[in-house]
Amino acid sequence: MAVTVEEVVELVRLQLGRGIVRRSDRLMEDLGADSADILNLIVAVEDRFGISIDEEDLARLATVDELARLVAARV
Amino acid sequence: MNAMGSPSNLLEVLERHAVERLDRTAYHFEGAPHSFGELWHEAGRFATALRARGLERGDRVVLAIPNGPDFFTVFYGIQRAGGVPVPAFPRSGARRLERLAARCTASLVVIASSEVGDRTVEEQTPAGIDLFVAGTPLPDAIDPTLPEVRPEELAYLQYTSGSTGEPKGVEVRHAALLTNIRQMIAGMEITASDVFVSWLPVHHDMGLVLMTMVPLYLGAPLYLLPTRLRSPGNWLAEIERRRGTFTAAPDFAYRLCLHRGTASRSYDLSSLRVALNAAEPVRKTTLEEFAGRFGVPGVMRPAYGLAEATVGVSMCRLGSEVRVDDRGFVSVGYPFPDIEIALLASEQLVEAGEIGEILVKSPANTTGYWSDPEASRELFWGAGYLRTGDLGYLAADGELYVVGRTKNLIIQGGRNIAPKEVEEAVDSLPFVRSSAAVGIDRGGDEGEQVYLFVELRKSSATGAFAEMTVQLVEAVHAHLGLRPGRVYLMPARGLPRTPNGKIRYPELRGRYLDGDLRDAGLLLFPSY
Repeated sequence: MAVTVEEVVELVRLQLGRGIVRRSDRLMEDLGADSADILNLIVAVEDRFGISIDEEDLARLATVDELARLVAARV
Repeated sequence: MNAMGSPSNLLEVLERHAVERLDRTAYHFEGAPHSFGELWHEAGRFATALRARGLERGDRVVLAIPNGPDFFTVFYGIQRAGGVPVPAFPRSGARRLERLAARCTASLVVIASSEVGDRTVEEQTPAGIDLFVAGTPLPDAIDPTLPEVRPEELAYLQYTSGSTGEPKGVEVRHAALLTNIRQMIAGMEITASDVFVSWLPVHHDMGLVLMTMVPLYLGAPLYLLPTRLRSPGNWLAEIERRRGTFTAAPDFAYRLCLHRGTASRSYDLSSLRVALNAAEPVRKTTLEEFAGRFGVPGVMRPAYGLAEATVGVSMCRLGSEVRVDDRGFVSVGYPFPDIEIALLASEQLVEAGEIGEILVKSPANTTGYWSDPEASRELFWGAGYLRTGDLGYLAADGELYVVGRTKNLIIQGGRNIAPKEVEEAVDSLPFVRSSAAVGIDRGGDEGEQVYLFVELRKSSATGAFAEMTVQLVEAVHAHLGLRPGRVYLMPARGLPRTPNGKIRYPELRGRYLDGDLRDAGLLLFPSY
C-alpha cells in the first residue's frame, strides 16, 4: 500500500487541531506541538499505518515532510 | 518581623535573606542571576500597586504566569499585600481563567505580557474581571503599611482536580507551608550546599514548593529554566553545567530524556544527589535506564505527595535500593518527619500488606477546599487523616507502594486534569451532544494521555468528521493549553451510562482498550 503525503498531512492536521498544515511546516516551531504532542502523533501514525517508529527515528523528525517520508519508507 | 525569633512564614525568611545580604543571588533564570533584594523589592512594589487598587486582606488573585522573575514578583507581591495568590496554568485560555476566578471569587487576574507569556494578552483576557498585565510599570516607593502575615492565614490556593472531577482550591496556610518545606528538607537531607536545577512549572506544587521555595528558604543555589524547552537535553545540559545536585520531574520527563533528542551526546550527571521522580506512576524501567544510561545508580528517588498535604509526603531513602514488588510497583519510600500514613478499606484501617486508600496525617495537611464545605468534609477521615484518593499498601516495615487511584482523574505529563475540565472545553460546540474524557496509558513513552470521546448530535452524525475533530482539538488546546492524545467521534447515546444518565468512565476506558467500542461500531471517526 502506498501512503500519500496527503494522508500524513491530514493525520497531522487532526492530531494537532490545525486548519491548514503544509508539508514544509516544522512540527514544533510552526505547528506549536510540544513533546507530548509529538509522542501522540507518533502513536497515531503507528495506529493508522500499522508501522512502528523507534526512538532514533523520532530524534530526527522535525518537519511534516520528514514524517511523511519516514512513513512512506516503512509501510 | 521578630528578627531574633524563628520565622513563622516564608515571607519572613525571604525578608531576612533580603535584609541580611541584599545582593545575594536568590535564583538564576535562563542564566541571569536575580538577588533576594530584587525579589523582595519587586514583590513590595507589586504589593503596593495591588493595595492602591483596593486589594484587601484575604482577597484572592489569580495569576497565570510562566516560569521567570514575573512569577515571583506577582506571587510574593500578592502575599505581601495580604492577598491570596491562586496560581493557574500559564497557557490557560480566557474562559478557563474566568471559570477559575469565579470558583475562588477572585477580584483580579494577573497574566504575563505577550513578550514573556505563553499566549497573547488577547487570548487570555477574561470578561468581567479586573486584569493586570505583569510587566506594566509599578510604583517606585513601597507602601510602608503592608500588612503582617499571620501563620494561620492562607498562603495560596492550589487548584487541583478533586475526587468528583470538579477542580477544587486546596487551602495552603502559611504555617502548613513552612512545615512541609521543613519536612522535605529533613526527609530529603537537603542543605544550603545543594544546587537545584528545575524546569518544572512554578504554578504547581512540586515546581513551586519543592523546587523553588525549598531552595529560597535555605538560600541554596537555584537554576530555573522555562518549562517549554526545545529539547529535554537542555535540562540535562543545565544540570551538567551547574553541577546540579537536586532535580525533580514526573516519570514522563525522564522518559523523554532517555528516549528523545539526547542520544547525540553524553551528559555528565555525576554531580546529582537526587533526581526525584513523582507526580505520576514511577516505572521500574525508567529507574533502571536512568541509572544505566547516565551512570548514576541510586540517584533517582521515587517520591509521593499531593497538594492536600502541601506537597511532599514520602521519598525513597537516600543510599538505599529502590524496591520494586513482584507486580512491578515501585516503592515511594517512607514518610517525612511527623507524617503518618495509614490505609483504609471499607471504612476500616487495614494491616500492612493490604491494599486500601492511602491516608495521610500531617501538620502540613490542608484545612480543606476553598468555599466547598461538603468536599472538605469528605476529604478527611477519622482523627485528622486526609483521604488521598490514591490506592496503595504499606510493606511490613512501613514502606509505601502506590498501586492506583480511586479518583476519576487524568494525569498527563505529571499534570492532574479533571475530565470535566476537558469536557467543558468542547461541550458548547454546536455538533457536540455530550463528551467524556478518560486517561489512557498504552505503556508507551507518552504515558497516560487524555482520550476524548465525543457523542455527536443526530443531525451531525454524517457530517465533516475531520473538521469537527480539528475544532475539538483546537477547543481543548485553547482552553487547557494541551492537546488530547486522541479524539473519537461517536453516535448519540454511544457513551456507556448509568440508568440515570451518568457516564460510566471505567467502563468507557475498559471497552475502548478491549476494542469493544470499535467492534460495536461506536467509533465513527477516525478509523484507527
